[in-house]
Amino acid sequence: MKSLYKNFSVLACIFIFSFCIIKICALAFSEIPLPAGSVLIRNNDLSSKIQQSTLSVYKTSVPVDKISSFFLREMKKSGWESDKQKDGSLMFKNDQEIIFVVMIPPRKPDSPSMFTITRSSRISKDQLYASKKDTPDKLSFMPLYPKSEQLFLMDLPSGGVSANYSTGDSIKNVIFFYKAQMLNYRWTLTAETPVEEEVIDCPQCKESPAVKDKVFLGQEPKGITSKASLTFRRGAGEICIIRIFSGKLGNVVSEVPGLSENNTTILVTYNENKKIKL
Amino acid sequence: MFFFWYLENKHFKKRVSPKGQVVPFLLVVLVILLIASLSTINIGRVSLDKTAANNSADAGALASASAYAGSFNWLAETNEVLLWLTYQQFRVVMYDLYEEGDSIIDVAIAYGATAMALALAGYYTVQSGVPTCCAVFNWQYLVAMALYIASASACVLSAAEVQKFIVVSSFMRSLVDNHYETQKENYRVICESMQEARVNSSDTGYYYNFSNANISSKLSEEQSNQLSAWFSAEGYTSGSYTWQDKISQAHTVNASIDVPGISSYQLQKTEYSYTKEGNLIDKMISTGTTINTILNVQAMLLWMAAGWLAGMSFASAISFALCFNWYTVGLAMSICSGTIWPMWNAAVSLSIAIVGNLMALVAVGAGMTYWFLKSSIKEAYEGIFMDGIYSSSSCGDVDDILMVKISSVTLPTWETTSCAEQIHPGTSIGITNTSYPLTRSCARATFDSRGFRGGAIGDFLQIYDPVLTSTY
Repeated sequence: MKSLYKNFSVLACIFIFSFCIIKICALAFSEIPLPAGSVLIRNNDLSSKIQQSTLSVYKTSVPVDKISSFFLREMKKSGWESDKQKDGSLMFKNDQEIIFVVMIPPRKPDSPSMFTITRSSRISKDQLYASKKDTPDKLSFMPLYPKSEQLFLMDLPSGGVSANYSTGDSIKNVIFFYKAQMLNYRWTLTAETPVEEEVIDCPQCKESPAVKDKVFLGQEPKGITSKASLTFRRGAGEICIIRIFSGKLGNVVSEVPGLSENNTTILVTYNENKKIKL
Repeated sequence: MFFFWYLENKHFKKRVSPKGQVVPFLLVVLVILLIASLSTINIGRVSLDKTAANNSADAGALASASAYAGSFNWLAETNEVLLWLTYQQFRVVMYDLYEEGDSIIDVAIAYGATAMALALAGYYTVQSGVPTCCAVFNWQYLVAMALYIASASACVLSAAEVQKFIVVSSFMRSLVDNHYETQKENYRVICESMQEARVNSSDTGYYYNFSNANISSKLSEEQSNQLSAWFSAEGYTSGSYTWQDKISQAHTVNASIDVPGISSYQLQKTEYSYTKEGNLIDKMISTGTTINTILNVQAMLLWMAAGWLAGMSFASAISFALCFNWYTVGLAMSICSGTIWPMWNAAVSLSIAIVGNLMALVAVGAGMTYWFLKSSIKEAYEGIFMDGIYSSSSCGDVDDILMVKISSVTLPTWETTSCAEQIHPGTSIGITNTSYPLTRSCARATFDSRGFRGGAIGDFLQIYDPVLTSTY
């Protein structure tokens, strides 16, 4: 009797588990309504490390304008939120997925219309912000900037890595570091955008003499934004672009702690030498 | 000649015997027959050579068109599975980031507005709380302190949201760089492959042209082996094959193949160029970085001001307590009216001024910047929508566009041309040096039998087929 009860419990667990899996799959891959007579002519998997994605191509005898109205009507019924894009394509979304529908008019009057459906999972906030770390992850292809915090590290859909770091050092120090250290990784500097500064004025800040004299040294207070970029190439096709952005307050007394500190963001985009499969 | 000879010797008839009179006729007939047979052989050979030239021209044109059609089918396929899909992938991720960034800014604005409201409330509370000595507790400083602490916290939260926005914008920037480099490389590979395909199609045409030139039937066994070796070494790409017959006369077969190259690619591009899109996102990141700094500094100053207010509240509480005892009231009065109290007042005035003015900085700088960030991220997303065509005439000529796919290609003609020539100097039977005329034939074949001559590429249903169009 005890054994029977145990078996029953196991079967019940399996049933509930299977039911949940089927339900989750059904939610994740719910059917998209299609215009009558649509024929699938191609299906491509576009999935990358960050996203599940497929592209399907259909042909149909239904005219393009009717395809558009069909999707707007039927997808709304299925609970999708729609958004007509500026370029004429249709976008549908829910919390888990985004669908783009692009219409291709027939080239000749007797040719069928076509439409493509790109269906992708959405990038979650966890994916975006989970890589934030006080001590950055080591990268095999480049040095890490000392005393920096990792804000972001993620694979790119077409191959490569995007990394974002924050440091209190000045933009010039960061540039000097990468110019010197990237050589150790066999990178060659192929392009450089020198530091460009932009000033954000604060007209109201100078209205108070007390602040102007005692905090901003009697000068006009300002926010200073700087940016620069370094492009490195290595071997056949590897590219590493380092963009540096910095923001700070200008003309402030250095005695007030924190006022004159730099806030420098380092953005690394690494494109690996991806062999194209032809 | 024979006729005149006959006229001059008619007297034979008048002579004795008619015997032997048939010999001249026989000779004439034999000569005529010999000439006729030689002519037949010549005409037959010329006809055979002409047929061979026709065949090789047709085969060359059709083979090169067939190979080129295959390359165009590959181009259409690759255009979709490489360029178009890469763009779709890029666009989907960009949309996700745009939506995330847009919602982040809404939250950052909400925190920023809260910080502003709380700081202003604190500011006016302090302003209204004129220091009173000594039997009154200045509770306004305590309230203002709480308001400043709350405002500082809201500033920190707003700065944290802006930091998230920087992360989102940075990823957008990386995506733009990644897409630009990837598509540029994809296009370069496709473009160079089509250049290679043109050469290969031409070589295929030459191969079939020579294969159908009927050369081997004219060769000895040894020469046939040499011909095989010539084919194996791809000697046919030279366009000419020569050999010698038994009487050391040179025979030549020439071939020419013309496969048109793609003169330009019309590339579907995005509305914003790579530079424009990149600069816009750079400005979002750098402005976000600056506003993040300002918000953090603002929070720090608010904390400092709150600390001063806490100290003042403490002193106010002490002086308030001391005022109720006759023995200590003098000390309380000295605190109120002495040097410490006015100094604290000055410090408070300064802190209020700092707070007020830095809030103004936030209002002018960040207030506008928040909206700049919100509108910019939408603009950055819409900047990658398909818009316009860029004409590229070389494989590396896509310096500043974000590519969607190849829209169409331009060629001078959609036909391949193949010509064959047979040059044989004379007969090889050793009777006479009969001269053969040069036989030449040309043929054209299209590699786009459906007639999509507009050159549009990328239709999923489009199939390029080769068809022979003319022989001349």
